[in-house]
Amino acid sequence: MTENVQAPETKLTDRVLRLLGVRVRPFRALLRAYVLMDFRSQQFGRATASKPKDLITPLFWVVGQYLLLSVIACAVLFARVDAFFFALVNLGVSMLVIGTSLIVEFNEVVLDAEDLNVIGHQPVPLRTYSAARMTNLLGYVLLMTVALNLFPAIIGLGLRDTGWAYLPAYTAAAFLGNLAVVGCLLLLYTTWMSGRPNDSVREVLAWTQTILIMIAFYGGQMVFRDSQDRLEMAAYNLPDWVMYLPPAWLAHFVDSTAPASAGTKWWIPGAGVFVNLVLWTLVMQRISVAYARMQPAGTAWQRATLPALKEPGRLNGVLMKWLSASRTESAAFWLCSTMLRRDQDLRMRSWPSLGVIIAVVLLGLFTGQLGDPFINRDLKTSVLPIAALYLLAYPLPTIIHNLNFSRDHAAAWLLWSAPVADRVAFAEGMRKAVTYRILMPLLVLLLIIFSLLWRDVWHALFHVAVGWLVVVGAGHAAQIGILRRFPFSSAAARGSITGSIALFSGAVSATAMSLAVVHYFALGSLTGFAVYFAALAMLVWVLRLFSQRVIQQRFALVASYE
Amino acid sequence: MNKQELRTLTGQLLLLCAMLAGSVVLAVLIATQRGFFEKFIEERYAALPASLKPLADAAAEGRLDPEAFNKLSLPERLFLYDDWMARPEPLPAGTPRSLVAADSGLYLTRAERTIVSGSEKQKLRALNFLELAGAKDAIPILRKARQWSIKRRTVEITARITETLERLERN
Repeated sequence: MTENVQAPETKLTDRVLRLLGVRVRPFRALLRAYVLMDFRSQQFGRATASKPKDLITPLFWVVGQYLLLSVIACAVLFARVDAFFFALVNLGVSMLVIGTSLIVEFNEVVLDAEDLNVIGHQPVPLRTYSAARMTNLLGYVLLMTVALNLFPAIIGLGLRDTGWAYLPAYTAAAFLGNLAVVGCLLLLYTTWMSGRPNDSVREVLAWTQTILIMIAFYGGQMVFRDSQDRLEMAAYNLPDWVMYLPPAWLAHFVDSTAPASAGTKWWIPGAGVFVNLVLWTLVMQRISVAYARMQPAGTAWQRATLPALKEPGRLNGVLMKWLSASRTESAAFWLCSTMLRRDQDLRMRSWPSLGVIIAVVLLGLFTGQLGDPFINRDLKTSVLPIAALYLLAYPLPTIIHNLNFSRDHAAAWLLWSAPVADRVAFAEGMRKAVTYRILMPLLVLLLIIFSLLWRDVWHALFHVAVGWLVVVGAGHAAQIGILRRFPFSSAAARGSITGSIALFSGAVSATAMSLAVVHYFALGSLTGFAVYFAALAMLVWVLRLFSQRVIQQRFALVASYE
Repeated sequence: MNKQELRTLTGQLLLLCAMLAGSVVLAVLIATQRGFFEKFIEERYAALPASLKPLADAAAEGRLDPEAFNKLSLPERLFLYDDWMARPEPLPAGTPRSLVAADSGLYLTRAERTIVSGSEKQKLRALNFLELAGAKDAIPILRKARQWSIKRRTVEITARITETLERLERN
C-alpha cells in the first residue's frame, strides 16, 4: 500500500488525477480501502455471517451467479436463434440485472452518510472523495458487466451469422448499455430523491424489481416449458415494439457487424457514447452536490428527530397472544413484524424472493396449467400447482437471513442487554413473524385462487395445507442453517444479500423440489397422499426438534459475532 | 500461493480472475461446439392415433373428406402433419396438397415453424411439403425464410428454399 500511496509523481494516472483536481494520495488510499471493504466487509464482517477462514467471499458468489445466469441464457439461445435475438436477450438480461443489482445491493453505497464518521475529520477534499467513490462504483459496474457478458460475448462468436467483429461490438454494446442503466438510476436517486432516498419511491422501486424478476422468471419458464418452439418463432417473428427498446438498438449495432449485413451502424454506438457522456456528466454533478450536502445537519444526514411512526400492533394484543407461546416469543415476533413494516431496506431486499411464486401462479393462470392435481395427474397441468407450494420454501432463508441486517444495527446492544433467557422462543418468534406476516397471506391467496379454479374448497385446502407444512419446515431449516445472531445486529454489505446464503438457499430449494416430485407421485391415490402428508408433518416435527437443539447451542452466542 | 495470501486483496482479485479465466475457457469450448448444440434442435412428432389412420390414408390418396376433417380438433389436425413428417420414404405425395387445401393457414404456419425450428432433415422435408402443396400462399413464407436463411448462412437450406420458391413462382 505504501508503494501505491507514495507513487512517483510522473505516473500518467497521477497527472490525470491532478488535472481533474483530485489529490492523488488520499484518492489512492480511499480507493484501496473501498475495494478492500468490498471483500472484507463481506468475508470477515458481521454482515455475511461468514467465518474469517472463508475464502470464497459473497462478491465471488454474486459474480459466479451472474456467470451462471449468462451461461444458461447462452446455452438456451445458442444455435437456436440469430445473432440479433441472441444479442438482444443477453443485453436485455445484462441491463436488467445490473439495474436490479444496483438497487438491491448497492444503493446505500452511492450515498453513505456513515463515511463521515470515518473520514469526515480527515483532510479529504470533496472532489477527491467523490472521485474515489465513483471509481469504486464504476469498478463494481465493470466487474458485474464482465460477469454478465463474458459468455454471450464469446459464445456469440460461434453463431452461424456472426464474424470476428461481433466480439468487440457486443462488448462495446454491453458496456454502453450497462453504464446507461446505472447512470439513469443514479440520476434518478440523486435528482428525484434529493440525495436522501424517499421511502415511497424506494418502495415503488422494490416492487418494480419484484415485477421485473417475475417477468424474467415468467419468460424463462415459457422457454423451458413451451413445446411450440415459441422462442425460435419469437426470434423469427419479432414484434415491432421490441425495436423501440434500448437493448434492441444496441443489438442492431451488434447484428450490423455480421458478414451478411449491409454495413455497420456506427451511429448507434456513437449515440450511445454521447448519451453516456451527457448522463454521466449530470450524474457526477448531482453526486458531487449530494456528497457536499453530506455533513451533519445536511440533507443526507440522518435527522436528529424522527417523525412519529405508526405503532404496528401491541405486544400483548390478541393476535400476539394467539400466535406466540411466551412473552419472549411475542417480543421477537413484535420486533420483526415492526421492522418488516417499517424498514424499507428490509422490505426491498425481501419482496423479490416472493416473485418466483407469484410468477409461477401467473404462468399457470395465463397458460391454463393450474389444474387440480387430485383429479388430473397430467404433468402439464399439475406441475405448476405443486411447484407453487414447494417454491414457498425459497423465500424463507432469504427473508430470515435479511433479518440479520439493519441500517441501525448499532442499536443491537439493546437486545444483548435485554433479559432474553429463552433463545429458542426468541428465534421461534422471528420465524413466526416471517411466516405469519409474509407467507401466510400468500398461502391464503393461493387457497382462494385454487378454490376458484378447481371449484373444490376441500381439494384446495388439503393442497395448501401441504404448502403450510413446507413453509413451517423451511422456517425451521432456516433456523438451523442461518439463525446465529440477534436480528438487525449487522450492517448490510455489498453482495451479502444474495451471496452468502446462496448455497444454503439452493440446498433448501433442491430439497423442496425433490419433495415436490414425491408429492406428485403420492397423489396417485388418497392413501398415498395421506401417507405423504403424515411423513411431511413428521419431517417438519423432526426439523423443529433439531432446530431447537441448534438454537440452544448456537443462537446469539458471543462467539457467533466474532 | 497459500490460504493466507489468498485472503489478501491481491489474492481475492486473483481468485476472481481465475474464475473469469475458467469462464473464458468454457465459453470458447461452447462457441466451438455449435454442431453439438444443433443436434438437439429438432421437432418431435407425435404418433398418429389409430382413429386418424383412415383420414391420413385418404389424405395421401387425395380423397380427404372435408366433413370428417372439419370435425377434427386443432391437435388432431396437426397429428396428420406430424404423421407425414415422420413417415419413412417414399412419402405420399398427395397429403400436403390435401391438408393445405383443407386448412391452408394451419399447415402453412406449421411448415414454416419446422423450417425455423426443425433439424436440417426436417427443414428439407417441410420445404418438400410446401412444394408438394403447391399453394401460392407459401410464397411469402418462403421469401421470408430465404432472407432469414441467408442471414444465418445456412447455405444448403437457402439453396433448397430458392429452388422451392422458383418452382412455386413458376407454377
